[in-house]
Amino acid sequence: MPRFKLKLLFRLTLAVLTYSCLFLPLTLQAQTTGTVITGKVISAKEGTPLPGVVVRVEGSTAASGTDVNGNYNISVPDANATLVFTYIGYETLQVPAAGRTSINIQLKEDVNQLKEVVIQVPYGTQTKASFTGSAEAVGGEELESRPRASFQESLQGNVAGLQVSQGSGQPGAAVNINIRGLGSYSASNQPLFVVDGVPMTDVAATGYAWSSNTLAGINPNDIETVTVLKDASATSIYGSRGANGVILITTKRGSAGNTKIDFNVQQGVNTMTMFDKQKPLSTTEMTDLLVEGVFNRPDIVSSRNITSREDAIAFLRTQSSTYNPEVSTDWADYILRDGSFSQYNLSASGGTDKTTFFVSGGYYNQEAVVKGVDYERLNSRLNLTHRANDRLNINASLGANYQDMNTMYAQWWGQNPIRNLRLTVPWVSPYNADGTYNTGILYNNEILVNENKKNSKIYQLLGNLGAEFKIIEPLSVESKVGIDFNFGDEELYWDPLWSDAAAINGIAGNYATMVTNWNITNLLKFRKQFGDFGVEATLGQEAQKAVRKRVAAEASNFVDPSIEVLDGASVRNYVGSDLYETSLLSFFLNTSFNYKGKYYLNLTGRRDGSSRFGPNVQYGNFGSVGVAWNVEQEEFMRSFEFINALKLRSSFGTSGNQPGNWYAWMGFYGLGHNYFDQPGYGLGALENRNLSWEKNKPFDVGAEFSLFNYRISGSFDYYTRTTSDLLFGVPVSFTNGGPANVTKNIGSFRNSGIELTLKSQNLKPSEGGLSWETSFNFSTQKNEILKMSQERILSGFFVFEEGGEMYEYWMKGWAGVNPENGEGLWWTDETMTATTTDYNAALPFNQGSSLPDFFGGLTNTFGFKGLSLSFQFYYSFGNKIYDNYGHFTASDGAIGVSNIYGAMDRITYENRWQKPGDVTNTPKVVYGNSQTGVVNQHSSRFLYDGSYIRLRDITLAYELPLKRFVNRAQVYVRGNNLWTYVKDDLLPYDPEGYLGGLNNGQVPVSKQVTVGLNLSF
Amino acid sequence: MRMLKNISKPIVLVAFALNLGACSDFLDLENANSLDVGTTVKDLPSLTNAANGVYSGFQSAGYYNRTFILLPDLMTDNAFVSRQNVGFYTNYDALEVNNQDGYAQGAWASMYGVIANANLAIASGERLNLNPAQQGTANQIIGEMYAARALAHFDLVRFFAKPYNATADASHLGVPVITEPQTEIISPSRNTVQQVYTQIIKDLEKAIQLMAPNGEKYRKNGRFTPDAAKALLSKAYLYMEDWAEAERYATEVISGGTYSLLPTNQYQNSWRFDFSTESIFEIENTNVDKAGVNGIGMMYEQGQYGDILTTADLYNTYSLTDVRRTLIQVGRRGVDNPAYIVHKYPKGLSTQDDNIKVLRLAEVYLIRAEARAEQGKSNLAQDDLYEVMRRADPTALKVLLTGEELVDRILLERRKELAFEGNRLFDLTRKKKDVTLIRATSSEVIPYNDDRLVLPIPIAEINANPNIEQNPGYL
Repeated sequence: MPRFKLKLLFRLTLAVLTYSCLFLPLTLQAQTTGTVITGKVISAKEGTPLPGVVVRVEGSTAASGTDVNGNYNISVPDANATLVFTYIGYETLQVPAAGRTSINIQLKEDVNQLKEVVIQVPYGTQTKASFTGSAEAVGGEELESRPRASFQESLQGNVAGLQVSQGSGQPGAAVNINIRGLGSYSASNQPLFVVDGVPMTDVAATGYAWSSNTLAGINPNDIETVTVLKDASATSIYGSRGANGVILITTKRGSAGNTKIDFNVQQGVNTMTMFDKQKPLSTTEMTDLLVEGVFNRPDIVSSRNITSREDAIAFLRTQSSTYNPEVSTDWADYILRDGSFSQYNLSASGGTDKTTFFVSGGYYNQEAVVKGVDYERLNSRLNLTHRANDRLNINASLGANYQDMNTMYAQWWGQNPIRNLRLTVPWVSPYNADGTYNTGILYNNEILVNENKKNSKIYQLLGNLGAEFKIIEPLSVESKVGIDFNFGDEELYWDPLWSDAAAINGIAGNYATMVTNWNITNLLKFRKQFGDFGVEATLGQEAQKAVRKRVAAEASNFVDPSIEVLDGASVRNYVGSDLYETSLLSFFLNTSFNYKGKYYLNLTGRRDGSSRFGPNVQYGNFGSVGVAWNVEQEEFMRSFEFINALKLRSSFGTSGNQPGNWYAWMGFYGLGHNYFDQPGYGLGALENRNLSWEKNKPFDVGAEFSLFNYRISGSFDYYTRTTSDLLFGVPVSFTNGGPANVTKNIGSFRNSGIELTLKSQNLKPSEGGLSWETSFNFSTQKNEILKMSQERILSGFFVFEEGGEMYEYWMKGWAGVNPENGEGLWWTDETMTATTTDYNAALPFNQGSSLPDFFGGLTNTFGFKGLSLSFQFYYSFGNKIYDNYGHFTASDGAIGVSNIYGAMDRITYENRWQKPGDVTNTPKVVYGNSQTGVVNQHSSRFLYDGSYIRLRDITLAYELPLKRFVNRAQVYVRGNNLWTYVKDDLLPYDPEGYLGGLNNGQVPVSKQVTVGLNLSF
Repeated sequence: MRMLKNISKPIVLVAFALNLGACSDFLDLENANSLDVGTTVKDLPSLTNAANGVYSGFQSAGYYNRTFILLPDLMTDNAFVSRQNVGFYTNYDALEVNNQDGYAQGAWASMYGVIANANLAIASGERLNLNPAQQGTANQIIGEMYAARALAHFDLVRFFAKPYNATADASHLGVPVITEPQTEIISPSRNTVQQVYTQIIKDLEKAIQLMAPNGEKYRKNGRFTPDAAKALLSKAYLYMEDWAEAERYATEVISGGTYSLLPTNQYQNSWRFDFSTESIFEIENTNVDKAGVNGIGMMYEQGQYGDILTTADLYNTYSLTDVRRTLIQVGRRGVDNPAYIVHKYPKGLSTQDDNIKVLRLAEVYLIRAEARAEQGKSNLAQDDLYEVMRRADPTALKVLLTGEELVDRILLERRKELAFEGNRLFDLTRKKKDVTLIRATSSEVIPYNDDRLVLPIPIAEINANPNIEQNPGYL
């Protein structure tokens, strides 16, 4: 295996080098003739060296850049050439060489340019000052060289109002992102992702994998910026896909000048978080509990004449053939591990005035903390921009990548190692004395890990080709064709040793899933200044079609355990295919007016047609109004010199959401209801012809500011977003014969909150001194159900009621443990006035919200000479999380010793009631308990406070003072999730391991420590 | 360069998108994985397919392929969950079932699925205009659908309601009777048990009238025949304690002469085979279309789950020469030693596609024996009982009991003959016999009218349907 990886890496490197060679001749010519001028570029104000300043020779393509110490050298064709120094945020400086060979330069900060920050906006770019919407950009430096497979995970804590939840430590798993709360119940809550102008689809290319993420195919190191669009003014232009916000991903492009080569490598290790609370009990510890449980059964004690621990153990032995106090297996040793992590990236960028390029290749490898779960990714990218003439620009991007992951089953199945970890008793051993597998364990995890297979590979091509053509001032057209092509190749194999495949002598399944997503955008842009009035308009048209096709086959009875291809099986169990399609057709107009660059008015409108709705309601109209006022440009602000920028803005609009089910409105006969090998169909879905768009109405008012010479900047927003005509799978009576629910538009709810973002430069580095920057964000979130079509909807563990929040827990109330006798108590009803010892006599009631009240991030970065230290805290408060498998692991002795899936948890061991007067939340252990610990005894006993603070990221980096060969060399140590505070002491699992407030039995969350090296040439 | 090749597709898309007239085409996408409910059944083959969908519903693991066949034995003295188990059905073994129970919901949903699909097939089948030759076949299929609907209602009312005789006029809570195809969302309330049985009788009579008299080829395709409907009708009358009608329909099946009890020496092996001469109606499982690991065989056969064992109590009812004793093997399962292992679904160890034998001639004899005994026709009842007894054990002596004792003896024979076929619980409760619930290490006598012997209406139904009433004893 390692050899295979090395080979891949070698090929990758070769490919990147080949790419770069194509372009090197264009850039190196300047260094071949003439005189060489050297010098140093520093900041005029602080005197600190400026790395990365572009140095060009006017009238020629020759260009160079400064290194980490601000030094440059450039060959000039003649001694009287003029050098041009450009640097973002600083004034451009032109300096005639006038025969000198050494020129030192001081660059001044360009105050205007700081204001003129250009941001990515829908269908183009815009200056931040002119944008009436709420947008937040995350730079590539926040994303690169993180031990996380996808860029999405790194947004956590960096953007106000944005929450990331993965609910799993499986590398490469899908990432749930919510911007400004939950926008929907049954339709998507995910923002729209737009990669270099191409909208992605919401469909996975895998079926066997519990979760996969085609966006994880994009190398975070290839990303220039991620822009999060939050309010109506920013998102309404995306119409029916904009309801949950939009995230624009812009990949890196080259700029004219010397070819820049970056190489970085990172290695590390993952370990499980909060393991202490989850460490499985040893046989001695389990025996302690069971013996105590026997003594808590007076009937057994008297009938069996039990007086000692030995007597009790002897009794236990008679109750189970497997129970053996001599054997103690630590299942954590078998199931968990310290996973390794590594990534390598190599990129080159550069170009000429006419053509620029960016090429990259990367390799990423991560082992999860659960044995058998891992992830590998290879990617490559080529971005090209070509200026054909003054009128025509052509740009193209192509990313090709490959993800390969071994995943595990989630949920409470025998195939789930986490279930096996938490439930398998320690007195059975996975191996017999002769080294063979112990098949007395129904689901022997060692067989699962060593013999079975659950592998998913995703091949992705993500490309676009676009052109911009200036027709005649002020009109221009832009067209872009994008494709996102994904092929999922998956294999599931159960060895004949595995119990579920023993009778059939091995079974294997193959999925081939193809997801294609075509997108066409045509834009007509108009931009003109009429005196003090500026007008900008974009008229656009867009069409998108996504298709998912899957071919699946399953066969059993294999000729040999070493064979996994289906040709080696004699029984064809299943062959099938299905096909899903969705399409969207849109027209839109975005107009913006400004007066003197002070006052901005933005109007957008969009009409979307979607195949996901019935013919009567196929089209929806969306739009927004946004205003912005750049207050600092007013005369009366002249006296407030410390205010560098102050913008007030507000927007209101509508956007929509489509059902995740592509055929949600249709009623139909489902296929495959066969009988006696003859084809048949049966009711598959119930029709709702009136199903229409879920409507989202966002309102935002906010301010953006920069103070004290830009040392403090930030923004403040208040928002509401109201979702109406909520798409909801309303449960219907089973007597209707179809599935248990029908998608309807039922009512509305509102999210509201405030967001505060602050960035400050606490200490500026004077030459060689200490620097300190802080960024902080804080978001509140309040959800309220405004209207429902029925009084109360119960769905799983949740209740939806008018006036309440979405996803409030609905279950019986745990009233704790009677200190006198250790029995569990439940509240009889919501009044919480009386308790009962009979679970069945208690009524369920509302137990509070699964959504946090507030959350955010705090990042501090210190720099001293070449050394920097950065750490980020993430915090989230006010939500509850439910361990829906708690009723299995907290069995309080109910299972006795009869079942090898009867292990009790450490929380029980450490907190159980033992003697009268003990005040605890964990009842006594009773052998064969029927009062508590019984399966399906769901109650608030397993509901925890989910509040936590986490040191999400800490990095110590050092710039090596190398002057030769490299422009920049940095080494660093980085830790993730190294420290966590959880508010609830009894919380057994990592607070981020819950998805939608529930435990899904997934790969545990891990912490990482990595070391890395970044080199720039 | 490959991109250039593919560019023709986007160009088509652009052209498509720019052509406003074509908009609706671009957006009107068919669901390629489904068929329209209203228009799909248009001829005989499509009606046949709809009927297949109905039979497919019986194959659900929540219904005939596991839960419905297992629970009536598990909840009594016929079977229990071994101490070495993976957790299946333990709540029924302990009789600690609550409204969140997934097995009850699975059964409820599958049974109403059968009814809803049967209603759609009946309605669309009756709309077809066919030539006389085709009409005969269509009538057979429609008749089968009536029978399927009756069977599902019968199973629902047995599982989710107290027996017919729980009140004098059977006016207690039954289950919703659904006879119309689904066109809009319904939230029905529960009919009385009497109303449910009335509908069952009506549907079966209609089925008998519609189906082709000679049903042999349908029987062997796992489909209903007039004889299957008659056998079911006699069973329904037995539950209603309409002894004369029960006897009449049982006689029609027996004297029709189509079926015969298997010889003793073929009995044990017959559980490996489909559609024997005494099998009247079976749910077919094929190697391709089966419950697999979720099937009943996996519950009883060892080496897989094998969680369910039978009781010494039942085993000891068989004489040493009783062939039915050979279906139980005395072995060991963990601490359950000896363990009585059931081999009535032997393919659970191999292909996992045992057919489910829903109605057998042996049962029809026992139905008639009971109906006759209850009418005081002791001699005839003894004859019927003896048919079943001597087939199982050629050395068996004819029972000469009368009256209540004879009825009880017939009930015992039902237990022995129909064990593990999903009858025991209903036989006890309808005869007002207390249930001895046998578990691995204990047993308990449950009064015949105990609320826990009726399954809860699933919480999901209660939540979705404001008109449904929960069974007593459940929330």
